[in-house]
Amino acid sequence: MKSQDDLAQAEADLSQAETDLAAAKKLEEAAERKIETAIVEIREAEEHRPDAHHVAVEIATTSGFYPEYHPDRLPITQPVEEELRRADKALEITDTTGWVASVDKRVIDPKLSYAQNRLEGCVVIDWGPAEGGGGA
Amino acid sequence: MHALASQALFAAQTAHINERLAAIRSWLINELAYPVIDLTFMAPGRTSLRLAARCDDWNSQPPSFALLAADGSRLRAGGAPKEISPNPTSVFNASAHPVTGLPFICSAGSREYHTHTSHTNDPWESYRSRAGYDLGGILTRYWHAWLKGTA
Repeated sequence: MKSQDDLAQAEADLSQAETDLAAAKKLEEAAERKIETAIVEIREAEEHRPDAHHVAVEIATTSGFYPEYHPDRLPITQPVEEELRRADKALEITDTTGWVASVDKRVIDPKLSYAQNRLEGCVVIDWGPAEGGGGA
Repeated sequence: MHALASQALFAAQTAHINERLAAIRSWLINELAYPVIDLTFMAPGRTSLRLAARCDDWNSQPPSFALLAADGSRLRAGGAPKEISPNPTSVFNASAHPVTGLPFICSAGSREYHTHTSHTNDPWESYRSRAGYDLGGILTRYWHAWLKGTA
């Protein structure tokens, strides 16, 4: 009788172990997927990271940000206006005549490069119309 | 303009005036719901200026701007309220508007400018379709004007 009880217990233990193993395998698979996602995110972040020769650039306007989700990694020698033109197109801004570009409220010259504008690292360019005239 | 069309245009033109942009510009968004845009402009070493725009009938009519202190109290005519001083662009006018009797924004895009006796020959109609005179553009223009008075 005891050996029958032992056998039944052993079968129950085996069944439980198989269930635990299946659950553990699912957890392992989920962890592997998280690791893969994290690696992709790290690589993407590194692609947009500034260095000595590159800046990470975002354009801020009242029509939205360009790029929308992450900065563009651009050569420090590139004229600022190239990225502004890309922003205009993406944000469907039709006429930027008389607009002002500024970084941390310092007006910059879009015809010059980032380096010439003394910009480095992560750069957010505010892009919008200049003040109009005033006076009654 | 029909009220629903005005509301839809308001929503489209203010969709990106959000906390992300406000953080970069040092704006505080006090209220942004049709027909009101209530923002505070802030800068180091400067007394903040709060603008409350009423955009009813946008864009058949330009927004009507109230100039406020940060606590929401109206700026009063006479003297030189520190919120709009210095004022190198003359966009902010501390004298009494002939209709409201209050300081006002004296630049294209504000209802107070286009209804001022000195500017009735410069109607809003000639601006409303121009680039840079959407709601975001108008706010940006006034912000730039205010920043010009910041050291």
